Amino acid sequence: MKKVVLYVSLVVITLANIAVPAGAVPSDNVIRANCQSIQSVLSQIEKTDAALRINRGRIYNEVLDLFYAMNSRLASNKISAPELVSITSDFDSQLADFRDDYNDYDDDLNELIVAECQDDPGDFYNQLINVRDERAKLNDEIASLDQLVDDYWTKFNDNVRSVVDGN
Amino acid sequence: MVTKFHRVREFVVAHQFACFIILCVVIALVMTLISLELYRRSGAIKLDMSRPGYEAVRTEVEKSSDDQPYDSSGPLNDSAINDFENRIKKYQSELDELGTYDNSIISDDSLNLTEPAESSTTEVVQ
Repeated sequence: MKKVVLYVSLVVITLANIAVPAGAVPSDNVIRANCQSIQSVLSQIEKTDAALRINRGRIYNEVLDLFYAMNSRLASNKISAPELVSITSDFDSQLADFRDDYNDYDDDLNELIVAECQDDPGDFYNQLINVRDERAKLNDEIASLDQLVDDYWTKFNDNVRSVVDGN
Repeated sequence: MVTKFHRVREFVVAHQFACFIILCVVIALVMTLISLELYRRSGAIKLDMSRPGYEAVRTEVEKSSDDQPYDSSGPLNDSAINDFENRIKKYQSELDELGTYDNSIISDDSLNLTEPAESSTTEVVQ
């Protein structure tokens, strides 16, 4: 029995050493071997991200103008809608954060693209992780902005429309 | 010091037109440098699709189709509400069609940063 336990333990330890654990840092050689192609891919991503930023930014600006216009129209018609004003304020704030965070992300991505990855692959990989975190943050922000648009419409439909229809 | 100032003044008086041109060029250069710095610092440069290398993605940038902004005053009747509803649904639809900043395209797998499998070790385990 003791021998069986010993053999099983040895197999488990061997397998654990063979398997690459999740989130393992690639070796410097792997990074050096692929860094030129990575920088080429990142360069393309930077360009498509810029186009996405422009398209989303344009729509968000128009949505914000629409919210302000509706809030103003509600006020001029003496209809109280504090929740819509609050959502508009949150949207404005979140949009400003998105713009700033995109600028930071683009700066760091650009630094990664021009970095001397052959000389310091470890630092290159750390910068890549940082860029991933910033990109994930941008993704969260656009999800939040999209949700706020939905929330505004829902609140308008639930609270304001009935008042207007009643009048 | 005073003599130097007089000499400069005499030179300028003698070459007024040339000095005027040089001054205009210097002012234009300074204003251009200030403009470029503002352009860079404001982040506008990041949204400039006319930069070299961005030719392929220029077509992806969509122009606004909204000619008339929503009226911020006026009665809140069915027509106004329907107009608002159409606009907001159009924006929601456009946002749904746009991409996201999904991290899967810069994962280790996508960038070929995973360690190659060691086939000799696998044989030992078997």
